[in-house]
Amino acid sequence: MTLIILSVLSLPLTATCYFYSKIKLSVVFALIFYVSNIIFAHSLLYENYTFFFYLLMAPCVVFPVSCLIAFALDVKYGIFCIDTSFSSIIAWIFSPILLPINLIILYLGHYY
Amino acid sequence: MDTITKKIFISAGETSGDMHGSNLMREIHKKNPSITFYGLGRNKMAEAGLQCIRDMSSHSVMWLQALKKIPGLWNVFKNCTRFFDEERPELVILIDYVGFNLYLAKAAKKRNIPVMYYISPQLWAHGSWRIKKIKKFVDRMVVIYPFEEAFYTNGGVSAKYVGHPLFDELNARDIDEALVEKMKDGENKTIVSLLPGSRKQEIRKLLPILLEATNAIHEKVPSATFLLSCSNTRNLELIESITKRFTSANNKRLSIEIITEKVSEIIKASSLCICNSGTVTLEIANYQIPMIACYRVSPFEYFASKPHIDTPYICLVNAIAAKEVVHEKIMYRDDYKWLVSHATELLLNEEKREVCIAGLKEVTSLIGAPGASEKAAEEALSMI
Repeated sequence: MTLIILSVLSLPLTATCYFYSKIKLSVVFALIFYVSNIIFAHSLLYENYTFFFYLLMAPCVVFPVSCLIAFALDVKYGIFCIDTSFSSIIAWIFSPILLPINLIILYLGHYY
Repeated sequence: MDTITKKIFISAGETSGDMHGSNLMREIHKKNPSITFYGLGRNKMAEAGLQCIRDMSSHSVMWLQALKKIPGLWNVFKNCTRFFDEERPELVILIDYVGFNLYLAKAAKKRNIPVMYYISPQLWAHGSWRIKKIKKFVDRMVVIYPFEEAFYTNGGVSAKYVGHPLFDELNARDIDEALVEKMKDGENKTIVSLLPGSRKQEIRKLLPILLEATNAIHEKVPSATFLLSCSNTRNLELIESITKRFTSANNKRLSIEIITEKVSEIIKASSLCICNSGTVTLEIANYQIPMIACYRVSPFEYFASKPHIDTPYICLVNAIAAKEVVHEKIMYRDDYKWLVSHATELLLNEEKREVCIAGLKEVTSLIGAPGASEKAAEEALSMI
């Protein structure tokens, strides 16, 4: 239950902090979001649907997190010629999908 | 006079960059006719004497369209680096178009070729951390807004303010006064002009709100008539289709006249301009016409980009004045009521109009002096 609460609450908290430019706090909530949702997905899928688990992790976690790391490095050191600020848009498109997918799988697993 | 032929590499990707690049090339040529220009540009730069490595007419794109152009741009980039290696120009001048030009800056810097960047990307408005990249790859920023000089100098980049080349262009432009008078109909009309921007994406987003506002403005100010500016014939079809859809959907009889490629005349004839928040606001300020500036984004775009915005003002006029001279708004929903209330106020309240006009005069006194291209040319020649 704690995992579900953390997974659900961390998303709006991340969004609120991000919108009001509280970036450090936003990063903390984003980490809680990613960790709790990865554990959540792992507990639901890994044992019986390992391939689907990795299929979910690649676009919803690995890709956006890689982009965000590149963005953070770019902000700190200015290493890329390309404007990496699109990374936050990628993260906001791909990562939140993880939560409803987890909840749908939980619902389906519970009732069927 | 220097008799040895010197080579300058110059790169501009967009239409406005092509225009400013051609003016800069002419000014450099006036001061040193022995210079030969090579690089990337369009028809105006070619007319000014550019030996084109590649015509950039088909390479100006935004967002996802840019992905399709990557292979083509990569080839252009390779051609440029080959030119750097084989011909070794004395100077590389980059004009705006930061998405591509920063790669050229890096390549030139790697080969110890001095780099001058003319018309800075608006880092002060969005993504100011990118100044680190400018510091690494650019030797001199030649900037067009007064506050940019301090912005770059504070970031450790050598910068020189030269003024905005738009004012050179406006000074040289012949206004069709007969057309202005015809539009005004002998001062009998209260003309409100709508300037939705020059990019299709911007027009699609903003024009429906502007059209929605016209009805309400007309109800409150019955003498108001509306002119819709189409800055480029390429956009005419889109503008006509949006306007047609709007008038037929609302069964409105209000006439909105679409005028193509006569931006200055439209502005000069107007009592009020409602416009996109870009460079056109400076042109309106030049004619000292009260205006309202807005920029339409989707709610998601607003949410995702808000933390990256580093300026309190999106409108260039307000950013230069460092205060709200004209009403401005980033719209993430169709807030035409906001437009109507400010438009009515500026059309009916003489005091508010005077305050706005006084503010615009102040801004043009800060930035409106001509001679930007000439000063930029002096900067370029000082680097050779």
